[in-house]
Amino acid sequence: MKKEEFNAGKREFVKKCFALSSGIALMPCNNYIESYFADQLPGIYKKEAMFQEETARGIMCRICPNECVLKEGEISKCNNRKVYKSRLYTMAYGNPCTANIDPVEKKPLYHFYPGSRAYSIATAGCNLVCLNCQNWSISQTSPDKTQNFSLPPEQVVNEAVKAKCRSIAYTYSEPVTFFEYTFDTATLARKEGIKNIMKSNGYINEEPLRKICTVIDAANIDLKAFSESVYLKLSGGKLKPVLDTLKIYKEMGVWLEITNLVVSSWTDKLEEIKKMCGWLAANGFTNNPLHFSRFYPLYKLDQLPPTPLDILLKAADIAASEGLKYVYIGNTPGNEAADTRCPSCGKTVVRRQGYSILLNNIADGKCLFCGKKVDGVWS
Amino acid sequence: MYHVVSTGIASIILYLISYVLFVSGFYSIQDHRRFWNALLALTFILTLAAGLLLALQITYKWNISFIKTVLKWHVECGIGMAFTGIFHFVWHISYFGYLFKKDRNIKIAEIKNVTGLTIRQLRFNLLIIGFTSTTVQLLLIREMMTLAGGYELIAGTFLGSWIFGSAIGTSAARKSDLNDIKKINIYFAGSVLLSLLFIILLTRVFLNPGETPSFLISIIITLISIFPVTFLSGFTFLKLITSGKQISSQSAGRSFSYETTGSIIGGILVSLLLGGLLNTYQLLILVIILNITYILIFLFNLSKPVRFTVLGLAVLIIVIDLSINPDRYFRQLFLGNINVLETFDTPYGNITTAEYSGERNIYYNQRLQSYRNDEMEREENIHYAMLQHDNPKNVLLISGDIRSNLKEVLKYDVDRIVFLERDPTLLRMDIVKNDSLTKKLEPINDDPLIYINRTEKQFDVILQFLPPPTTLQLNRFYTSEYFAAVRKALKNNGVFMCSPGSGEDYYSKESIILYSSIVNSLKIHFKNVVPVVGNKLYFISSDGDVTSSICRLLKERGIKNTYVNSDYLADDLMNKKSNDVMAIINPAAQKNTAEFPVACFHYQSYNLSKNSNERIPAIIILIIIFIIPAFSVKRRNFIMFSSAAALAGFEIIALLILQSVIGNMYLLTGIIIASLMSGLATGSYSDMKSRKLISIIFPVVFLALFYIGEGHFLMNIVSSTSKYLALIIILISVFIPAVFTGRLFNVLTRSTEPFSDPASVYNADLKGSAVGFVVTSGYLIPSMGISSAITVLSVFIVLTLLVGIIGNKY
Repeated sequence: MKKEEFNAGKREFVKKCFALSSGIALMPCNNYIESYFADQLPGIYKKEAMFQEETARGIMCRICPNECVLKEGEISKCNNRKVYKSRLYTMAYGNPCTANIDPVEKKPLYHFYPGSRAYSIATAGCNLVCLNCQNWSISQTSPDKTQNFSLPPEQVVNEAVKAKCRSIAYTYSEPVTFFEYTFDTATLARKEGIKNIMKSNGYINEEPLRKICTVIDAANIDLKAFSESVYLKLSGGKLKPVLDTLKIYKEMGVWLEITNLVVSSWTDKLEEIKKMCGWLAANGFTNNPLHFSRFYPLYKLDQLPPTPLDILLKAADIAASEGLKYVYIGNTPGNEAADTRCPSCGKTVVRRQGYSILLNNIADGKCLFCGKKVDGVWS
Repeated sequence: MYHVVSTGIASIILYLISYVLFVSGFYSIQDHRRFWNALLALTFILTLAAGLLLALQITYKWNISFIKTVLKWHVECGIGMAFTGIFHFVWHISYFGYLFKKDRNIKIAEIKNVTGLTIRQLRFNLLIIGFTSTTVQLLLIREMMTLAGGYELIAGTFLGSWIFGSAIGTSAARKSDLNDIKKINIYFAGSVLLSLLFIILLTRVFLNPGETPSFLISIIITLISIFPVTFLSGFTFLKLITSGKQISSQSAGRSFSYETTGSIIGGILVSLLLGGLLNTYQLLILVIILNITYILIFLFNLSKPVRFTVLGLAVLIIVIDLSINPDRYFRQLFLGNINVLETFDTPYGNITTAEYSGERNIYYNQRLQSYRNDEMEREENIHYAMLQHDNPKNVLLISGDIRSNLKEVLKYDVDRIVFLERDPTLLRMDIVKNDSLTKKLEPINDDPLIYINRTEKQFDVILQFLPPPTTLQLNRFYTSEYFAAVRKALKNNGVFMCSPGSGEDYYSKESIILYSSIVNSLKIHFKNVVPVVGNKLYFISSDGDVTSSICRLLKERGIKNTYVNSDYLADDLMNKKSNDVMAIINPAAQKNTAEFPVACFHYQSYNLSKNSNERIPAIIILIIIFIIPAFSVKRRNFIMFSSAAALAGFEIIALLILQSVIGNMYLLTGIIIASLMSGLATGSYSDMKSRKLISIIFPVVFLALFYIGEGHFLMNIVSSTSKYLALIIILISVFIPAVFTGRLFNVLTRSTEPFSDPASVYNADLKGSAVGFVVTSGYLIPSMGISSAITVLSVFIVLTLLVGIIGNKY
């Protein structure tokens, strides 16, 4: 081989290797960008996070079962917590990306001040990664990437009062991940006589849960599936901690309603639904409303059909046969099983049409027909 | 924390600067290497010293107060050494290769025509390879587009990946000792089956039931699944070219023209057969069987009985393939637990009817088109807009589920409902067989853009149910030009409704810019635009008053609904949400026009934000695959590279213009490709004897001027003619530059200079095409518009001409 050709081939190879090494070097660019910002403050809304612990591997966040262990500058799985100068900070405090007024029935909460409105706030971030998330644009990102309002806790309470809302709902994304903001706001709201609602996935550790329960009046918890493997595949979480959460809410005296979104071909197996209802009945949740909610194709699961009505109706029958007293079907206008019947006399005590209350035959928490207690917080 | 990435990047940038200075002649290669060798030695000494200190500290338990600093510098210097070591290693890699090579003789294998093919057989083989490659390419691109959501970026990536795989195939062919054409043909046939298998397996591995792949996953599936067929296609083609030269001195250009003729036949055949005669997988299986049969019958000396057996088997499989519709089984694999009842391809896409737990759903291009019992969407789709009009008599419904929509429209005292659906099959499926309803209903099969531009009818309300502007094809229905036509088709104070996305509690920056571009385009033609936030985000436009106080309107008009009523909605909350949306609209955002189809790129950006952590890896993969290989193109082949890039970019633009005017992508894509291939075949077939510089300069200058002219005038010309004439003009517009690009290929492969061998030029051609597809569709068009994009491509050709001819002898 001629020397020139050999050199040309060599140069060629050098160029290719250079190109390849550039590509490989750029691969961890994400980490580089993160580490670049690691030395910066977590933003003007910084507040030291509760439930953090120093470990040999880094700072552990003990809010939820993910229990992220983070090194300097790293961000938690929920995208909301960051280590700065060896302390864990929340990036979600006083900076909600959304604030709306919703009927309380939309949460859904059917047995908690029916017909009232809830001032609803959320920051970005979630500790689960549900493939069907309807709020993915805020749940799967970080507060430093969303456009936020400046709304410190006292201002949230003021806004709720101004809008004549009976309650403040911590909702849309996941309030567990903006725990400190929720806790401080709820504490202030209580003082003003405003109720507090958690709309949550229930993926939280016991200690923070017991703390938040001291200021929360009602919760709607998503029980997404009744199988560990489906939970992991569909949401990236575990079932057991959610079941524990339900028990603790009950034990702490927070009014609890449970939502089960029936996702076509994922969580619509009737035997699984039966197991779930059986567990709820066996663990003392017969008096807590269970909402079967219809799935619509969203986010990454956009090729699945909505839950067939037939399956929802069968699920409701199973729940009733397992002994659950208040079973509802949601997200299906025109076909909803939305009315509340007195578990004693069987008469309709609350007639609902959409989010409107057409009829309310409950007084002092008792059925007007038979005088027996109807579970809930009615007035 | 150690600075692996920053040190790495700094080293690379430093090396790049040093390399550029050496290439530019500022200093010699010896100085360049001296500097880097010195740096390597320095980092080595520092790492060594710090390492030694650390070892001593650990062994003898020395109390060194600054040991943490020593450790830090040991690692940092080690990182620096590693990177400079990489540069050092690659300078000497050929030496290492030489050390380990068995015969220590570096050579490029020569092709021996061991098969004894005649030149006729070889030409026919080239034709078959071209036919099979193109047919498979067109079928797989259609399928990948369907699976991945139809984005143009996916199409660009697919075409780029195809060409990338072919380029690797040709590179491998240059060095491979495998010269048995029969064997190579068998491998090629097998590769098609392998690619098909990969698509199915990877889709099932990467995706959950009902999940649409992210962009990164789509790239990975595309790259891996089509690699076997693209690699073998490039490999086989180069072996056949070289074989042709050996058998009868057939030029590479002529071989190219035979292959291209096969491609033309394939392109036309796919266009004709997929127009409703055969389905994607049905046709794919047919092509595979024909290819295998050809190889066995024509390339192997089989005995008569064996030949008849092969033919008989082939006929049997083809009959089964044509009679059972294998697509149903393939679609079932993709849809998992959803029971596929029926599936067929139309000129516009794939329609699949499926059943899940007793409820029937219709999928259009693998996306849910309609499903039962959805009162919310059904009522929202109709009433938010219909309520705005005092007395809607004439209504135009553009696409959508007519069975659901009709029921709601008929709650108003309408005289006539025109239902426009571009897919005739969907139209037939959708029409309700009910006399009382159909009396008022006038179904029309036409492209909405064409119809709106042409119709002389005027409507009180136009409701558009087309999907959001997810693709360039759908973007046409959200442009300023389209809205102008819609405005003309409306009576005074008529109402127009479209929905470019879903109603949300929070709008990301990607969705804000998307909606801003559409609202700004609407506002040019309508006095009032109001967003109504439901499960979808509806933009309602009119010159009359429009409002989001839906409950008030319901009361005034006396319409009774299940969901759209005051039981579910409250005007104060609706107005607040509507005002919130208007507050985030950016009036300075670029309007969505035919020239600047920004909305679809914003939508793609919005979609990419679903997997924001995958964005950088996806970009890196694209750069590694498409851009970095471009650096390995020899300077004298720059011209081929840039001409191919410009032609690929122009092809994308031609398809875009074609969609704007005629509106049908799938059916006509094959014809456009066929026209392009014909041009390439014509250009490369011509027996050029001259290798003078002018034979290179002339086509390049012509191409540059042609593209600039076309970029500025093509859109205007085709917009003002009939669609058939527009099609002819576009076909000619694609044919002409292809001829000149083919001519360039011919000229460049005739030079006797090094790196002018057909493989080298063809490689540059393929790499250029890959870059052209991806850069034009992914960057140039969204950032600068169609005319400027094509101008950039033209300037690029001229620049590479200048760079290419300096210091090169042609």
